[in-house]
Amino acid sequence: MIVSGRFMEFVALILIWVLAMIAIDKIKKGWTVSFRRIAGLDALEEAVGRAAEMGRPVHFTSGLNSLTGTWAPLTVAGLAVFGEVARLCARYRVPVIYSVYGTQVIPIAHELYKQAFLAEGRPEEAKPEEAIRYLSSSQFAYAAAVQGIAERERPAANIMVGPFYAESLIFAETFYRVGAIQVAGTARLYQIPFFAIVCDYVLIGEECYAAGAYLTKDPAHTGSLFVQDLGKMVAIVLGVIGALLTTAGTKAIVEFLKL
Amino acid sequence: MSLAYRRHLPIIITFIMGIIMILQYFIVPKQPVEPYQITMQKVGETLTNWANLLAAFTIGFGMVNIALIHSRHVSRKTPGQWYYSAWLLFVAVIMVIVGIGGEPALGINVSKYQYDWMTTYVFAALSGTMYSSLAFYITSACYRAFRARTIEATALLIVGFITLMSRTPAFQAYLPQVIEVADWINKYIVKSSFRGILIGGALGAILLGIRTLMGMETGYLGRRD
Repeated sequence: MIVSGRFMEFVALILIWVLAMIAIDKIKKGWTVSFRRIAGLDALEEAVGRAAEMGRPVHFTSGLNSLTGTWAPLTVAGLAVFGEVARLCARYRVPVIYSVYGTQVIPIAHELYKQAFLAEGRPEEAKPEEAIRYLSSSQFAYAAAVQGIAERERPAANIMVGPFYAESLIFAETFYRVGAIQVAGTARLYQIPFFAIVCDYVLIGEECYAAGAYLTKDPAHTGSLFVQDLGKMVAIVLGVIGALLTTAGTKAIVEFLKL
Repeated sequence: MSLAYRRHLPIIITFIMGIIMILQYFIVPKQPVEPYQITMQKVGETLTNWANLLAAFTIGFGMVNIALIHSRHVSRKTPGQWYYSAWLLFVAVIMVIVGIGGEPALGINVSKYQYDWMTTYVFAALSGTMYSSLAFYITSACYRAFRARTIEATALLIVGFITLMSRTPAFQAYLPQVIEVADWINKYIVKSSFRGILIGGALGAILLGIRTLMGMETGYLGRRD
């Protein structure tokens, strides 16, 4: 019934799913797991605090976001970070600007923003119509508009988590020039080096997806982070075995994974 | 609004739709033959069309958002901003009028030439300008990155230098070994690092998907509970 060549993918998915459920259940029952710190996510409070001290806004972008394309999970991860940024901004009374590319996230961002202010006990201070700004759904028109916001409003912090393309360096360099502290994250391989060079903190690939779980510190989320690390270990082991077997002249592991 | 409606219904819908799309990937081949495969493919296509249609509805949110923000800037005469906002609203209205006037699907074809002209000679030219400005940003980023202050920065400087030089005609003509070194770095060191990031990213995306289907990740619904 399973399409040829996708059997092992199916098995891996089921295995990850079951392991995640077991880990979540165990953690709910009191099992403790420790994780390495993610500097980029720990720095969010520092970035918002800096903006509060300087009396300048915080800028957030989730890149060329979409909820229907290949990078939808990364957009969801970006929205999770926005929820946390909005909460911190509500707590420290810092204006936040969310530059929106794809219109699909506007209602979600509005709701996250209002929820953040509600959670901090300041619903009356929420101004979603000023914070959530749709700019354009055209890549370079969007880039120009974000540059304009950076130059005119000079945010003290710039947080970028989502799918970024060629505009990533334009953003990073512009905000660097206006003196903003920058936290950036993406899973798009060719943009990570740009962020690593220019930004103060970088979230690399999986760290973006872990953001929601890491920030909320929910036991259910911690379980999935544990399985994520376990999966990486399995991938490393398979990679080493595969390299050794291939060097020895057999492609058994490759054939096994192609089942 | 009841709790069941606000909390559980969206998660149930997400779970059912997500499972259908996952099953479709695993049981429908490129050329479906069996009746169940054809049915699943049709269901998947229909759901994708629904998603695209729903996404298209949100364009209205964008239009309203832009109109509200920029009309407020114009009415308040926000310093350093209002004239940009006024220009944006003016151009947006012009593009909508000319665009509708040149839409053959609506049976109108009076301004197709004007619309194409504006798209080609204004919009595309401005987009191209923005894209080309990237060269200057890359240069200034390189200037900062390629400074040998630490061991990592020195390694970056050496690799960056080799990669850059391997693309120059002089090195290609007089020192072709540099090209081989650059290719080796790209083929083995860069690719293996990229694969590591890719595997980690894929695992992260899978687990985020599982959390979403199980109702543990609710950020996409606009709430953090």
